[in-house]
Amino acid sequence: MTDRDEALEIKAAQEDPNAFAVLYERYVDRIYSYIYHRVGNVYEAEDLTSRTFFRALSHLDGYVDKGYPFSAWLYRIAHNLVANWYRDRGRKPVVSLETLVIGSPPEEHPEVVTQGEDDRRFLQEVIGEIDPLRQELLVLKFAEGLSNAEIGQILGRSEGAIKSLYHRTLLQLRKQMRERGIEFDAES
Amino acid sequence: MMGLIAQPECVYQEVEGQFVGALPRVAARPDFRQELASNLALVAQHKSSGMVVSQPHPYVPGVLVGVAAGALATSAAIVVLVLRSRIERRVSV
Repeated sequence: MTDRDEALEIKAAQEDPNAFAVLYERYVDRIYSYIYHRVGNVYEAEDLTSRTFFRALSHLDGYVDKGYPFSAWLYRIAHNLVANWYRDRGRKPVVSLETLVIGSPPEEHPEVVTQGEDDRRFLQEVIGEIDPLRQELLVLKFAEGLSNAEIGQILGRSEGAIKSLYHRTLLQLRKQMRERGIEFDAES
Repeated sequence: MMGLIAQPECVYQEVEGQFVGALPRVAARPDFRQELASNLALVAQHKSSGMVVSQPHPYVPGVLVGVAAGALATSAAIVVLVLRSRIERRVSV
């Protein structure tokens, strides 16, 4: 799948909405995963995923290729819907990562409950202590594997600002690990 | 001032290596995927036939506006009743 192929698929979907199904099938799991990590609840994640794709379909005519992948546009829609979701419910936009994956019933996402779960739980607790923007950055980086440029597009920041934020976030994580008595090889 | 002093790349890589597996990607339920695909297909059909696509709106804001309007009307009615009773009392005195 090249960028050109995808551009043709988007154009086809703009001309015939029935062709949107191809794009949906390609991105539904990625968008769901992102939202799930943000809200920590399967039912809310499904609702917000639905809203993301309904909105994408209804606004597809206005989509303009600005040099970023189509997925960045979808993530941006999801990002805004999650922000509104927090605002409407008066909740703090904090991703409680320590209860996210772990708190979900194992049968919902059995792939998550695997060996090394204790380690993962510990790392998620550490991530759960940093501020929401940095948590979101880590979800986009680690769970979704996006580039700094793509993340910048989603969060409305420059690529350089994301790179800088990412480095500061890693240093903060290292500091918090140190406070728990865990040192890294690179420091010795 | 953490972050202002340039760190060796290996420091970032070390921390990154520790945390990269902490947030695994999760997949949506197959039933949910299928249902949403069907709903989108229906909306796509309507859209291609010229109908306007709209998302379901949450009813909560509507309820809040209704409750606020009701409370305002009740307050106004109480003020009117109090003023009226005072005026009637003065007239009778």
